[in-house]
Amino acid sequence: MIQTEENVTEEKITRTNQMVSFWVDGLRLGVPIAMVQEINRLNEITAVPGANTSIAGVVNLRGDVVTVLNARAIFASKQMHCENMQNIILQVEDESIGLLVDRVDDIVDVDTSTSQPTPPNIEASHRRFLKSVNMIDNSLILIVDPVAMIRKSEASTASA
Amino acid sequence: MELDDDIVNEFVEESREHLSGIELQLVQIEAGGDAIDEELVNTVFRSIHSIKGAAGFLGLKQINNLSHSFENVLGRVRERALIPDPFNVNVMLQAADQLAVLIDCIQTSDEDDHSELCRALDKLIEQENAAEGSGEMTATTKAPAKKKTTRRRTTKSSPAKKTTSTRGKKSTATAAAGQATAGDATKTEGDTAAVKSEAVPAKPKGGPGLGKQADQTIRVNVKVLDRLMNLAGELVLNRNQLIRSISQHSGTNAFTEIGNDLDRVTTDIQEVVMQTRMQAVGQVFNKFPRIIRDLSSTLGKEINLTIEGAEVEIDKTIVEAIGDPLTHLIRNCCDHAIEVPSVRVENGKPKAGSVQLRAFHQAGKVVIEIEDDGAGMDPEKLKKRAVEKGVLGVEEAKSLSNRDAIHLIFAPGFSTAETISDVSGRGVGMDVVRTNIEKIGGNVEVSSTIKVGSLVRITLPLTLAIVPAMIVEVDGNSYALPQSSIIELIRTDGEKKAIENVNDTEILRLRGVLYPMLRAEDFLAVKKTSAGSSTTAERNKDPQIVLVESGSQRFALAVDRVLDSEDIVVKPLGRHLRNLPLLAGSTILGDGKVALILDCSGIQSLVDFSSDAAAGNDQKSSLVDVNSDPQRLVILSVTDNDRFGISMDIVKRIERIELDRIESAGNRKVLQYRGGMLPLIGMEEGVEIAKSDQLDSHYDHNCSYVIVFDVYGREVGLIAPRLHDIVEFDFTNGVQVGSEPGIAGIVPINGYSTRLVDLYGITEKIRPDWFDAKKDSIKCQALRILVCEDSGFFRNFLSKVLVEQGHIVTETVDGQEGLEQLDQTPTAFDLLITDVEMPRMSGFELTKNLRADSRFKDLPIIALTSLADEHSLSTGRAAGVDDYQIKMNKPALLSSIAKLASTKVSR
Repeated sequence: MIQTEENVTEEKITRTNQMVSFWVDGLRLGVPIAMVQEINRLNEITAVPGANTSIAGVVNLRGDVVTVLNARAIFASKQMHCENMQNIILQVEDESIGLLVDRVDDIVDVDTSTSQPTPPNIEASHRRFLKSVNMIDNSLILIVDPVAMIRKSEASTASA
Repeated sequence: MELDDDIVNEFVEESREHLSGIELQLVQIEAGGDAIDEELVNTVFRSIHSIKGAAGFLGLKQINNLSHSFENVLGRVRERALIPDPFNVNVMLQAADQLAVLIDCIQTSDEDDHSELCRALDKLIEQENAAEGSGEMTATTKAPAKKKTTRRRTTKSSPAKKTTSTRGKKSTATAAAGQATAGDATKTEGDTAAVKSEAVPAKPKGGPGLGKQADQTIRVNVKVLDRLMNLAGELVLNRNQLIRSISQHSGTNAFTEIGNDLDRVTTDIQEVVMQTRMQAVGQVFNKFPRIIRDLSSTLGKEINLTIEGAEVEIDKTIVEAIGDPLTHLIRNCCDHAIEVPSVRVENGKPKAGSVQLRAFHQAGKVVIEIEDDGAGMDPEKLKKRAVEKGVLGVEEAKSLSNRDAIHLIFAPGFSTAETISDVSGRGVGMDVVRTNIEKIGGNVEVSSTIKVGSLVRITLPLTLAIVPAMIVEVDGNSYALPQSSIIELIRTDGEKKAIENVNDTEILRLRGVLYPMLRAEDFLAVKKTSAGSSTTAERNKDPQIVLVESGSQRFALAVDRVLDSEDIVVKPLGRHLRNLPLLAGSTILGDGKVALILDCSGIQSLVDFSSDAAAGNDQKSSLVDVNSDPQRLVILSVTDNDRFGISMDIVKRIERIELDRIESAGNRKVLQYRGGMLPLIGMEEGVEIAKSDQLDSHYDHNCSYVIVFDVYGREVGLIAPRLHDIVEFDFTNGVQVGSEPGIAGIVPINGYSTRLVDLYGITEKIRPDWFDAKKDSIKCQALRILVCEDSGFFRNFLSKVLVEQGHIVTETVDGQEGLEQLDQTPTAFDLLITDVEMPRMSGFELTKNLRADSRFKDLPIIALTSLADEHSLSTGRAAGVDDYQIKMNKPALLSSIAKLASTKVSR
């Protein structure tokens, strides 16, 4: 609980923020637009043997080899794939990392002053990289902390 | 004083450049003694002078003072007023070191006081002055010393005032150097530092780096080069994609032409960009003379270092990476290998030890060799130590070959020095040396002979960024396998499967050697996440097999398909994937897809190979009968109706080549091979071949095998269109002696009557010129030779060969009979040729018995064997065998006889 309180204070400082909103297995999620480099259709992906399950593989992004994480795997969905998945390329700590999502939705303004802490009924393993819950047009959006999320997959890779 | 950063940086870089060569030059000056090489001294002088000038301008007092004193000393050396000796060169080296330190921390360089070193330098001159004053000058220094005063003035009158003037000076100096080398004796005007160039005849070996200065160079930030390198990599990928789509769309001619042009230009760009990153290994080598010099005095040894191939270039990253491993190896040489002078003299070696450092190109790679004539390594001692250290079990140690024992030095936690010394015991072991070299795609090998010396051989790739690789397909995905780890590709289709199962492990049997086999699909299994069919492990019945090598371990890797070979640009993987042991990186293929690069050492670590190898050995040894010596024969055919057998012992290698690579020069065929020409001969040129019009469906008409063997030290290839098998054949019975020249006999093998090829006989028949030239080296007077050989076939073969040379031959069938024969007529023979494996008494026992008898102490003995391994070699030598020869290697045997006969005469 201490952790969620910290999150609240942090959010109050940042105020309104533009978020890229997207869907993963029925969940509406958002990432700060400043961290999004671009959004792609998923081009041919190369699976990596021996890698953690949350890693979908690697793709060629204009000559750079970029690791792509599967959001469905991170959120422990039963189905790992759906049709026409899209690839959000994030800039995290100087590295381009892809996040494979069902569908990119829109760019939304999120008033961070209305942020709520993540509800306790959301799985503990997910709560670590979810910053907050916000209401937009009467629907919920979960704000993701990409740095925490990517570090989490990294940690599980190392232990694998 | 606030210093302008740009100017200071420029000064630092320029000074480093000046100082980089100085160590080597000073050591060379010292070695020259009173035969002063003025050009060399001038080079050093100019370097220090430039530093002094610029430092003065920038107000860097300490550097200025130190270089001033240094310059004075050099001035005296140049005038031959001061003769370089270990003492004063030591002071000069210290000064150079100190300058380098000061320049490295330029901002704080004025904080410490270095006047002591200046005084030491000044003292050198004072001493010399005192000597002069008291008239005790040596004859060699007298004459040139007269010029001293004028010279001193000239040098002093040129304190460089600005950086620009230093610049100017440098360029004129370079010009002077250029002219001097060109033999042009024009005076260079306006530059005092280069005044003496006209007096010196151009010496090509005068100062290394002197010629290089004359090149036009600019300084470029390494980051820019790295970026350029990346972009060139991109371009290569785009080119590959473009070429692929052009060929798919079968575009117009103009289109294809543009594509071809782009292809060519891109290849050139790639090459040139690579060149910009190339640096001479001399950069690393040049610091060794100093290290050796310092070490010799610390250790009380005399060591001469010779350097060859300092101009060989490799990628910057590799040059940087080999510095430490090489230093370690050189230190090891000095510390452990080279003996102290007294011991050397005792062992009949020259007092001064020699260390040779060589770099050269070989087969698209760079090889660096370090050879010493020191004590060598004792395999037994190494084994003992390994057991003590727990690296090896007692039983394992016993079965270890000498070569493997020497490679124990690379085992982690293994240090052979009796006491950890200051010189080489610095916490880095040879295992680190090996790891570092393998990290950059190289490998290291050691060979050593006790009391004679050791040779360390490092093989390095030219570059790391772009590597040639084989693209293979596993489970529908493409992977890249670096060529450096591939030994050969093996096709098993059409031939009898050579894959055997031993304890659930698959083993590949190839030319009589067993290799553990891994199926790539097993460890590269990608979890099927899509709803698609989950393919159950239906084993690929007909895989392609790649024989790969990691460290000294070879294993077979089964893949679904081998697609292509391509130059790939290595791209690092992101942080999520960086630590996967199986992968060395990634690359982008021509179709734009990412392919992962396989890491063979990672794959190797998947399996405990030692148990597999042991299983393989058991199987093999059960086939070998103790007293017989079966020969391994490679079975080949030219058409369907013939079979030929060649003894594997004289075969160096077997290569698979495409037929269109064979070129014809006149009626002779050659193959471009490993950067040279391999002359080829065909079986049909020497013996009659049964004609066949029936086409063999399994036979690949585009490829052929080439059996490579040695004829008097030159490699020759025999074309073998089809290779069937390697069999072991016991020659003790059932050989019909051949009547055709070039054919030694006929034997039934696997239901075929197989002609045993006398490889040298047939070669001599086809190309007598190769043998004529060497006739002299095998010529010797007629000898009375006793032959001990149990196999009738080889006995006959040997007799025939020897009688042809005019020798008188007596045959015996085993060691016992040989010994009796000799005992009865002790003076009737000049030379004994004996087989090793024989019933009743082996060749080694026979030798031992003979050597124990004073009558046969000096009888030359040649042992013939098919088992030319280290162990039997050393056993044989211990027993008293003079030389070892492989059965059927006629030229080598004959030269050995000639050699032994001539030494016997000289006795």
